[in-house]
Amino acid sequence: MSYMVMECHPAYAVVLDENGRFLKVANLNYQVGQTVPSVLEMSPPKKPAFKAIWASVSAAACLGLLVLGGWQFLLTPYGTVRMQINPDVEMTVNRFDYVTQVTGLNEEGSQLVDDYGYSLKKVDQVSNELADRALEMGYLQDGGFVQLTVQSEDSQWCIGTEDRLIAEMSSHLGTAITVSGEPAPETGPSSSGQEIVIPVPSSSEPATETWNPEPPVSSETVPDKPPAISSVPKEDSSVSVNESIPVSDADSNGATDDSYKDDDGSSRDDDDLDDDGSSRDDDDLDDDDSSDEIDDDSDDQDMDTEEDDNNDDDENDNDDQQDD
Amino acid sequence: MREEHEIVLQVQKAQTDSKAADELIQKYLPFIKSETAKFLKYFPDEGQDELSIAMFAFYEAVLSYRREKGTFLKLAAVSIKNRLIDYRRKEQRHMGAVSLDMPDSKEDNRTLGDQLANEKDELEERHYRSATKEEIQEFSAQLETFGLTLSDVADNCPKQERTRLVCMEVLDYARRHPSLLDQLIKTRKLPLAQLAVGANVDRKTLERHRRYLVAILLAYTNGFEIIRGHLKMIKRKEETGR
Repeated sequence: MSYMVMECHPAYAVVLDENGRFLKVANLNYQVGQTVPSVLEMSPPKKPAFKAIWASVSAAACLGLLVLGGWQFLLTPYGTVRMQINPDVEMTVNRFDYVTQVTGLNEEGSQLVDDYGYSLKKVDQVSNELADRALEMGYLQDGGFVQLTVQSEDSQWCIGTEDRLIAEMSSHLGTAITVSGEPAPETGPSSSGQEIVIPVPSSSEPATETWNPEPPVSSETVPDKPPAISSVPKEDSSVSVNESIPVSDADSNGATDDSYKDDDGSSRDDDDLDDDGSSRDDDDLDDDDSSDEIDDDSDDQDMDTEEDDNNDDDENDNDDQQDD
Repeated sequence: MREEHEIVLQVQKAQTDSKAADELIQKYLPFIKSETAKFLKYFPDEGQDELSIAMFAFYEAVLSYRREKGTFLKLAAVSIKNRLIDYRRKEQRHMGAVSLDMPDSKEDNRTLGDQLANEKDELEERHYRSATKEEIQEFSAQLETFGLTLSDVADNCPKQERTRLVCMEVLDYARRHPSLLDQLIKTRKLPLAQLAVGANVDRKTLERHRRYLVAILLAYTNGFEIIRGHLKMIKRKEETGR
């Protein structure tokens, strides 16, 4: 691009460019008639008034977007907490643990959440209040069972929230009502007179170990058994049940010891067996089998004892179930 | 306080009147020099590029000054400083290059530029330039009969490429109808209506750039071959491009 200098002033020169534009440029000692290859053009004058309007408009737009975005962000469900007493209620939770929606999944659930205001409440408060409502409306009684199921894509949040809610609700509702993340051993309103025991943390592990194999056993072999699972009135007694097993039967005592040591003991066996391997594996397997059998036996015996303890309750339960 | 008011009035006058602007700049030349000196850390020579740029920046400040925004001299000082910083950055790209104006290593007064083989005939060059100068002086004299100066034309020049192209269409149309150019010379008036209809452009656009159109059409009347030659270079390119 070449520029023809048309007019010179002390501070600027007027030049004509090849496109036919007349420009004011810095006058670097130009002379009229000269052709120069490059010039320092004047920066276009600013229009501050328009700029101010533009700035305010864009600021307002930004604010609006921010509010909308934030609102959307707050309403985005992060996970759900499902509370099953008998009323089945699902709470949708955003990422700040605030409840954004509460829905009843069955008829009682709908009744429970009807007229309930959950806005601006955290999930802890809402679950406590819903449990209170369930108590008031008679869905939940002493000895009742509350199951909490937390679902989210964030598994860590799931575990954390579940633990926290269980602890929170347990302390809120007292020991008479059990709160758990596991499904109730015996669900339904039938558990009226019966107290379900979820053991205190110290004893929780052995309890689950012993109870887990049960359901198939109970359904196949002993149809009357299910209510017996949690038949012991209080946590203390559940501990006593576990302890009572070895007392009641010497074989089972030994078996449980073996099985109990199995994890620790196997490593010891391996150390020993480094010299000659295969045959002993077989031995181990045999041991395992036998211990399992003994375990089963011991379970049966446990149940037997429990049944004895709570014969009356069992009968009641069975009646209730039949009614259902 | 009174001083400040006086300068405000002067600046406001200079914003519309190029002659007043020149006077204002002459009056404040010491200020411009001192601002330049602050930046350069030495006092600028007359005609030095930095001083020219500082004066240009001062003129820009005159044009962009708005009274409600504060004092003028502060704005001028900032404007000068910014322009000089820009200029220094631009120049840094050429730091490694050797200037043609550098004195020769030998004892005489010749510069490097003088030693280069001079391909162009210097005499012809000088003739050409003086012819150009005469033509431009004639051109601005003609413009004056329209009540215009080249500064006015430059202020009125379309800023947007689209607008410029519209003006070029009008110019094309006028060149194809030389009677319109004759009419312009004779009546000293721009035949706006005919141009707008003929070139099929918005009359309002033409009215807004009336002064620029006068200048560019005037350049295509008889007697301004050199200016036209300067413009033609790109004109031809555009035509082949279409």
